Amino acid sequence: MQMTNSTFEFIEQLDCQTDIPSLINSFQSLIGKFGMACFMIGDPTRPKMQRDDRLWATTWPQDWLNHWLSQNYISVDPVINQLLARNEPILWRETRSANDDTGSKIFNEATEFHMTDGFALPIYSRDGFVVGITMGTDHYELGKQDEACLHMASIYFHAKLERLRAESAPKPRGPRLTPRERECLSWVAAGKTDWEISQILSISEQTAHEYVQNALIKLNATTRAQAVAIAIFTKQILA
Amino acid sequence: MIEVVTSRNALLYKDALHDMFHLRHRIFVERMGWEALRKSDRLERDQFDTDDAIYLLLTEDDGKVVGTHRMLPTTKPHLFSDVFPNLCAVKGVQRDEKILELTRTCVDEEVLDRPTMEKARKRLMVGLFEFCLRGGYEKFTLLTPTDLLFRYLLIGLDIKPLGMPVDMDGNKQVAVIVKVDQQALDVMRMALGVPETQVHYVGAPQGDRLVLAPDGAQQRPLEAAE
Amino acid sequence: MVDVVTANNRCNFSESLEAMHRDRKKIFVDGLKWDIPVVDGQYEIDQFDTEDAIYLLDLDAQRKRHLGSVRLLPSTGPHLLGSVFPYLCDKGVPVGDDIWEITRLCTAPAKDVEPRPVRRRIATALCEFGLLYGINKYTCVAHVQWLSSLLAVGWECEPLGEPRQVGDETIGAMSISITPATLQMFRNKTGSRTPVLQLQAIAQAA
Repeated sequence: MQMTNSTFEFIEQLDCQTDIPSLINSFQSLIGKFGMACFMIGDPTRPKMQRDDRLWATTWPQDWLNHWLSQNYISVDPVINQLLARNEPILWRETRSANDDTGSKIFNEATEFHMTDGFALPIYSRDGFVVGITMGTDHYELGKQDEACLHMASIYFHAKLERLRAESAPKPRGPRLTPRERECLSWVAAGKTDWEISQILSISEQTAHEYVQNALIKLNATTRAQAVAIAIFTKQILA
Repeated sequence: MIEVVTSRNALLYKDALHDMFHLRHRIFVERMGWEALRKSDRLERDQFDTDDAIYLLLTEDDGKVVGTHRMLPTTKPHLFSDVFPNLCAVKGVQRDEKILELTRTCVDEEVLDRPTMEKARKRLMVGLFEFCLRGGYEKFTLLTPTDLLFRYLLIGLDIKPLGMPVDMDGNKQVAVIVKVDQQALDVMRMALGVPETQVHYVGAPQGDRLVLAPDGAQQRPLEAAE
Repeated sequence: MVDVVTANNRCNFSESLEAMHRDRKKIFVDGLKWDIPVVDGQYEIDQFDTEDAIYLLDLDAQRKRHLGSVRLLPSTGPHLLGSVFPYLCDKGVPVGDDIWEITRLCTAPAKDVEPRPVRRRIATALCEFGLLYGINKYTCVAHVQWLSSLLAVGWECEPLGEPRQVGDETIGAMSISITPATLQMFRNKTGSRTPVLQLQAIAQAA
């Protein structure tokens, strides 16, 4: 019951969490009460993405993390593979197989970092991809109730983490320009006048002027230079 | 449209209520296999379908019922108080005039095609928030699969567990309480893409004077009516 | 949809009510040549169009255009039968909380308004309103010919007294019973299963 209460306390104080590092601390401190040493949460299903997009938060020892990443274990780690394949909570030890040399190697190496066993959970993400959370320990003794607690805490942790990540992600500013407005503004950025743009694009000078003016209005800019700067900053034209 | 049916206006919804009980039987008993609820007349009703129950009925233009929620006042007997108090073991069974319990949510999976069904589910969810907000209810409780819990947490609803998840109907379910306010309704409208007012409420007398219930988007504040 | 308009939500329907009074003038004064008051040369408004009157307005989808309407008055207050035509009732004017009076039932005279569906919606709305607010009987004053057409439609009507000659016309008083079966009958005709009635604005009775 004490573990349950800790879990509910963790969930209830999530409303007060406003930044990712303290959220991670708070989750780490909760799983610590269950005897777990550290955790990792991420989205392993999109290998083409940058490392940051696949690995959202972790408290793994830095040396192990560096090794794990440099060896590209994200693609071969048996825990992650099983998580994706089975789509249900699993114990690390269930994924050990004598035939899996790479897997055995990873397990042996993890032992050096005091992780002999652990618990991993799949959580559905916003867009239907599986997000996984895995936590390790050198002394696994969780009961069913404990695992249920960690499962629920993980769901709340993950939702909050995604919300904080979305808030901190740079947002496209202001309204979007039409392709024609972008085109004209790109030429403004290249130092062209309305007349020159009209010649390049085979449109009237008046029309070229209107496209640029529209872009200014949309971007809430007072000068052409400012419009160019905003459009570059919001990635609507190339620098 | 989502019709709100209470004991006060049930006389106007005789057919619709019949359709709804039949829909519930088709979905919960015949499709999902809740055999304990099977009835020979194929109308699924239990001990909580009393005068205290409030039904939201999602209807098509011709009045056919294609989805429903049942809401029970938590101050009266309801599922969490009488059948599943163990699911609320950690925070206790919630009982308050401003809290309703949501049960028997379903859409007509046999009649609607997939896109219409998805839309129906979304309209029902938004209608639920609309109804609660207009009726002055501040929260509702329900048993929900943990997968759905995550989805609604992600869009920013305030949902708190009342107990530990349990295995039920082949997946993990957890008793939760959901906060309803204008912000929650706005968030739901935006996230589910349902901007229009859904709920149609035909009111009924209270005491010896007419009390007309608010309805429709052009709702005005009380002062304006005087 | 048929809107319920009371003293409390009237401000939301000022345009539609104006249109209703204009249509009533065209129908009852210009068409039927009734000798009743006209306001501003274009609106038919009489002494019973008061705060106590409740209107059922059949409006178009935008809730702007008046397609048809009926006026309801409580029998416990001033109403046409009680105040003007009490002698049409052989056994006294029926009065009670569960008895309301129907007057000024009309459909818009515009050429593009088909009267039949409008009448059906209003009839259905009258049943729904009655069931909702505990009204067991409506009373009304009407031409004798009208009684037979009401009976033909399926209303449960009962004359309240001998018809009398009033001016050029023979009129009588009658009462109409409202039961769930009456509603069902109209629903069956229109194929609708949910209410046509809607209550739009807040009217909080203390």
